[in-house]
Amino acid sequence: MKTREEKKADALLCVIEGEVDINTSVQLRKVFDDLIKRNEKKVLVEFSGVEYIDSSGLATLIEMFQRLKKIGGKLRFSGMSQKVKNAFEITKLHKLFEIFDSQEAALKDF
Amino acid sequence: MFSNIPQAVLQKMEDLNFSKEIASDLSLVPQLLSDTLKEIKKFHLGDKALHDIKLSLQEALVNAIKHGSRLNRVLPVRLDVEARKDSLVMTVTDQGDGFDAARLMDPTQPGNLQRLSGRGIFLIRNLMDGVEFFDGGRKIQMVKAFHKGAKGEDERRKKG
Repeated sequence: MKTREEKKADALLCVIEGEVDINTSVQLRKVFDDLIKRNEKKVLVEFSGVEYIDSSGLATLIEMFQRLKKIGGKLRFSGMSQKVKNAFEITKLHKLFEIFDSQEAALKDF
Repeated sequence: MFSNIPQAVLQKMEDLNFSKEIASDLSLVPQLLSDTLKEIKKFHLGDKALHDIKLSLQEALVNAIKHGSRLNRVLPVRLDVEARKDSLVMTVTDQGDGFDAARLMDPTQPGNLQRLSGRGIFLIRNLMDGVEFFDGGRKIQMVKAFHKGAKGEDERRKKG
């Protein structure tokens, strides 16, 4: 799994590529820790490069959602493939998270 | 009924049965998954079915290592894959204390939605066509059917 960041006006775009599973979610948590430390409050995670997410990856996203909520921040997702979105739909997490088709739509919503 | 499985593959299915064993170490899971998926691809299942199988195997292996073996490397975790005429049967066995699958919470209930654990087996139950536990929860058997109408098949067909 690889991640990169890009500033988009007052939001932070975090692009994830590869597989988010029990081994790589440790690395993702560190990225999120850093964003919280830097007081980033509008975080958009781009999923178009994500091929696969397991329950540990989902838990890491829930944790980030909770941490951002606590400091008055917002978490948005964009670009999910149907295969990845399926894991959110089965677990009903698509009702908890704000999931958008495109980065533009997600950024507009902040 | 089994139109998506080439006849030659059907005849050779029994040759594709295999078993693998690893130490209870989470870092060994990606290689085991990759080796296993390489074998399973020989069944010519669609992308969606392969994705469902990969995710289910991952969740079952992680559960076995983390909750079954409690990360004790010495305890082996075993994966058996058996091809039947109409389905693929995958069994993960650990040497832990077992658990009562009937007592697992429903992670989709509003009060559980933000819990950080408890989604692995729920995912497996939704991605597979059959899931059964044996030996007090130490063994999980997952079945993915080949036939039309199997879970995910309609979607797979729609996508072409």
